Amino acid sequence: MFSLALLTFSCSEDALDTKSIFGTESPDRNEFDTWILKNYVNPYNIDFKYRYDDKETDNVYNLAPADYNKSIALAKLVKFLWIDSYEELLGKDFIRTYCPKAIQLIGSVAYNTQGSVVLGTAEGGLKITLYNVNTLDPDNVDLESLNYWYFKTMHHEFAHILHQTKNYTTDFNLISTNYQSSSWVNVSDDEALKMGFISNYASSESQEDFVELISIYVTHDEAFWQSQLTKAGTEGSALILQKFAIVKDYLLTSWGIDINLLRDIVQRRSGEIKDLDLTTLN
Amino acid sequence: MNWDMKNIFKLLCLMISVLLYTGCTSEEEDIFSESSAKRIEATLQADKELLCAPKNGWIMEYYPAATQQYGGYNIWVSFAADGKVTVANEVYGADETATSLYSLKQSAGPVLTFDTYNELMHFFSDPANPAGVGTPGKGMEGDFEFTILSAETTKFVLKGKKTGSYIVMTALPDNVTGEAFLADIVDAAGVMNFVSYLYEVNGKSIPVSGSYRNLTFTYEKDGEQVSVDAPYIVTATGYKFYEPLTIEGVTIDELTYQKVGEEESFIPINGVAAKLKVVIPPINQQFLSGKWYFAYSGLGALTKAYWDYTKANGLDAIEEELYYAYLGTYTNGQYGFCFGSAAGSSVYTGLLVYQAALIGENQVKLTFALSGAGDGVWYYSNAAFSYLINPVGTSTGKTFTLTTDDIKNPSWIKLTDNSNANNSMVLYNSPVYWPYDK
Repeated sequence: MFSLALLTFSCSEDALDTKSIFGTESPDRNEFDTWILKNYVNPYNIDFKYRYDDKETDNVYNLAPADYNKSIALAKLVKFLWIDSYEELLGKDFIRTYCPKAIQLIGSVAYNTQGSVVLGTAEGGLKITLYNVNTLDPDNVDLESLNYWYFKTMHHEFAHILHQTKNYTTDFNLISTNYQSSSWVNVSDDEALKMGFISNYASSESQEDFVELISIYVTHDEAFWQSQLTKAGTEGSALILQKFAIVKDYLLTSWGIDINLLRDIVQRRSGEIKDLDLTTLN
Repeated sequence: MNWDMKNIFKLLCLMISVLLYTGCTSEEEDIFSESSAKRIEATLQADKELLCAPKNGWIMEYYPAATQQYGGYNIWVSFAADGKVTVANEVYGADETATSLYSLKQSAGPVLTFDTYNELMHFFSDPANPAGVGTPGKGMEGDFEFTILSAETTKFVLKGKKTGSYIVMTALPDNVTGEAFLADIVDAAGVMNFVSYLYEVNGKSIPVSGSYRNLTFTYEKDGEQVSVDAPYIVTATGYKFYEPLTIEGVTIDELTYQKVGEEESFIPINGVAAKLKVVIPPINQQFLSGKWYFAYSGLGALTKAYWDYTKANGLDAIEEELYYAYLGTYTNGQYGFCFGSAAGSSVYTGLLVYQAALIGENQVKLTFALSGAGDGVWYYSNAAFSYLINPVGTSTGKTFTLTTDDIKNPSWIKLTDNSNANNSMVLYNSPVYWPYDK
């Protein structure tokens, strides 16, 4: 009986096709595509996806694609303010190893049904999506809105990648006990500070709390940090500082990142963006 | 051999015979000479060549929204081999263009996508709702990614990936530029813009209302009242429907506009006996049948004072902002002062009920019915909305005289209080959000 079964496989004459179904020619690249290849893909293995791609987006939302020229400006800003900041502190290999592998741009905001909007998303450390690119004005960049829409999000999501790679001490999770889960939307930033959270989103759960401390710290100067602590009051600031001590220690011991040095670099570079050429592809 | 073993034996025999049978069939002939990947690549290349060929580009009969509820719009698109596309549309006018990128790619079939921002193309899909049509956060919900269903030298049939709307794209002849084509459409659209019609067919007279580029026919069928929507697009000579429309056994798909004396009407091009007659209702009827939105800048001096009071003593106190306010029907079908009030990211809606009585052709008497729906009564009692609605009419009523910019197709109607000219309000046909700022 086994021999009969074996017989059934013996009559095939199909040969494998010698040609690959995948084209080996380079795709048609425009000037910006070539710039991305040179500045993102080759050095860091990051795909900077400025074209809308339905496979890379959430179909729940109505979205509009990113503008070509604004995407160029943002590509240069992300390189200068984010990639180069980490590279300056930790070298090329660090960013090459841990950075997300794709950055997807979306022109519009993603509106949730209850009226809130999505600032950005990250998927498993692989991809960061930045929204609202079309409101960027390359001739008149405003640092505060850059941080709000893009860079706070990027530091936030990158911090997730770091703690998902090397976990932080669970002591952190014991400091605040009043996390709000999805009700964080009903907490104002000022209320959150008094409750011991650096932002309202930080009050949602401990992991968000952890990365919000990092992203808000590095995207603002010392004066801002102190003013937030003052607003938080004695109780709130005590909790924030206790948690921040763990954050600081974790970054230094696990990654060799001195968060104050990182902030100095980010702040110095933030001061330099007004001199950046955001239109020429060089 | 017991019963079970017999069955197993039979099953084995069956399996072996099946295996033997399939084992040595001769090799199947390939249906296609090339792999699917090579074929789609070749298709995309061929499609691109077709798209780039017409000197004067293409006209898209573009229908946003999955329901086609806003009807169709003419969009001119011109593709270049370097991956750029230039777009114009009838909303922005014939002479305005914008250039961006397009791609042809494989995604369950060949797909044409306008994948970087183009103000004139994404006007119909931007969730920021630049048209003020549709809801904020969604806009007109138009597509910018299309599956190519068929591709020919002068005609492409596309299907919107999200909406599923069919979109026909026709190549312009060498002697008609996109600008000239759109200019004719813009002129025609200006002339053929109406809100009310009568459809005469089989001796019947059926009322038809128009909203954006959509006609709603309301008539009796098998003893029941039915409403049928017929989205259309404006052509240089009339209206063309998204799909053929059959009422009373008579099918029409395209109409030609004509004006004989003072009578304006549309005649089917397929020659069937039917006529769509334009009706221009008195302004007060048009006012009652629509939703008319408030904007602070359109209020009279006295009216503004009432609105200021509500803001300072009502809305500010509860830390909310008025999101919109209109006179018209609420979601429950009742008429009155309808509003949305925004508290952070939530919007609370409500109605304060009014009775409306038409006087002559250009006056209306509005009387507050002392009742509400939704959160209407709550805001009346707790957010000083009693002041907000006072200018519209108290329980003893106020009579207004109505004026408009265009009796054929009003974009605004102004209500002026007969007893006090300082109480007046210009109300808009298109939604106005955050009326205190507008």
